Amino acid sequence: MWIYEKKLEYPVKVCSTNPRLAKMLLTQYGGPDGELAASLRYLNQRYTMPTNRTKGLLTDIGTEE
Amino acid sequence: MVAYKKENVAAAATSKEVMMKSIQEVQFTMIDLMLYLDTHPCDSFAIERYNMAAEELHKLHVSFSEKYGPIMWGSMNEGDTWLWGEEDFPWDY
Repeated sequence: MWIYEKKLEYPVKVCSTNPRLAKMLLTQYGGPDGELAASLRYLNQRYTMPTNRTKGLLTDIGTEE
Repeated sequence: MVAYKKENVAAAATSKEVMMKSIQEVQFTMIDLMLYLDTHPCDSFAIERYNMAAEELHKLHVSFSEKYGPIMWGSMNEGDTWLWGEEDFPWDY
């Protein structure tokens, strides 16, 4: 269902090591309320949505996350 | 001579970055418009903007791939070697 591209949605440049920032990002990314969990919730809940429009909406949001 | 070459490499890297940035800008616009249109499907102005961006993105994709190699899975591989693994990944340049 998905095709990936060799590009990032937003430019990222890591130019120094910053463990404190890394720790915060890790929680945002993979923590209990992080992007990863949210995206998977969108993509799983879309299967029970009643209309095609809302199925599409959750697919697009989950993909973007 | 060496300095000249270095400058050239720097200029090339910059133009690759600049080109990638414009692709990212256009595609970011399209993602936002897509999410907006999901909940406002009758906004013809937004659809027009989306289509303009899509056309622009297609042109940028073609000119970027011609210069710096493929960025989209599913495009043709030019030549006898597999190019997908040749170029840097976007967070490395």
